Amino acid sequence: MSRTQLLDREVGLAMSALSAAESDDRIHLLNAWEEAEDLYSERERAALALTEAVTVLTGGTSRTKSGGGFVPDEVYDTAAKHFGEAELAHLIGLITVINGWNRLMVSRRVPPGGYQP
Amino acid sequence: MSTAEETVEYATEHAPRMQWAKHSPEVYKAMVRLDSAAKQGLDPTLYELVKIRASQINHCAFCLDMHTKDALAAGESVERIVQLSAWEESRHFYTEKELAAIELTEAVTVLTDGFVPDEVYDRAAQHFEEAELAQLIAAITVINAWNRFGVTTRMTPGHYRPGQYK
Repeated sequence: MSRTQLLDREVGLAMSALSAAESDDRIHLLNAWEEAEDLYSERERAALALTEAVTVLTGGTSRTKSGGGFVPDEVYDTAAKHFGEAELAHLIGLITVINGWNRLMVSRRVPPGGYQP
Repeated sequence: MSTAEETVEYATEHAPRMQWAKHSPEVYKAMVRLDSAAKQGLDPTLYELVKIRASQINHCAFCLDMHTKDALAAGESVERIVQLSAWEESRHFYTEKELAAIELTEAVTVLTDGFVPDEVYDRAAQHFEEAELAQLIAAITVINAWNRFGVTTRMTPGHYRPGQYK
């Protein structure tokens, strides 16, 4: 599988979702999910918050505005309310895997646009 | 008998949030395979520096415990480990090739501040031929993944013994 194909698989998932079950709004507003309360379930919101916390490990210290890296107790605990422990372990695995693909693709600047679902 | 160690009270040690390897054994095994694939063709000394620097930036305490102990056991110097978080001011502790790798490690680790700059990538490409560079990028990605599991499940540092998982 080529480098381009790997990145485009992610875009393709979004495009498949667009053309099938997922609504335009839920994809377009994902970048502002905190402000779009009616579009995502509590469980989805817990997963999105965890995704952000696990992705942004590098920010500042606990005394800087961006927070202290780490994964805050409140974010983890909210996720643990909505996901059983085994499911949560797999969710953490998923978040870690897409973070891995992100690094492999961004490092080599793989061009988007050629992916077919 | 009274020693200083007996009178110092440290903060209470926290427990891990979950045993993720127990709940996701296939993911854990895949990570171990990925790790051994990524380090092939890389200098082990350089690989430990990469792992320590990424773990510093991602604040993975367990990973720091592990990789500093492994590095020391493999003969790395205390000075080079201590200076690593200020490597830009202590460049003479490291080779130009190591510096290029450390700089790339930072760029790939801090993606949320934006991209991997051309100058950083190009400098790495000057010191690593393409296959070795591909392995280095993979190695940086793998330690970033371990860091995410370590931080998210809050693995407890302090009990690692060098070579424990080898």
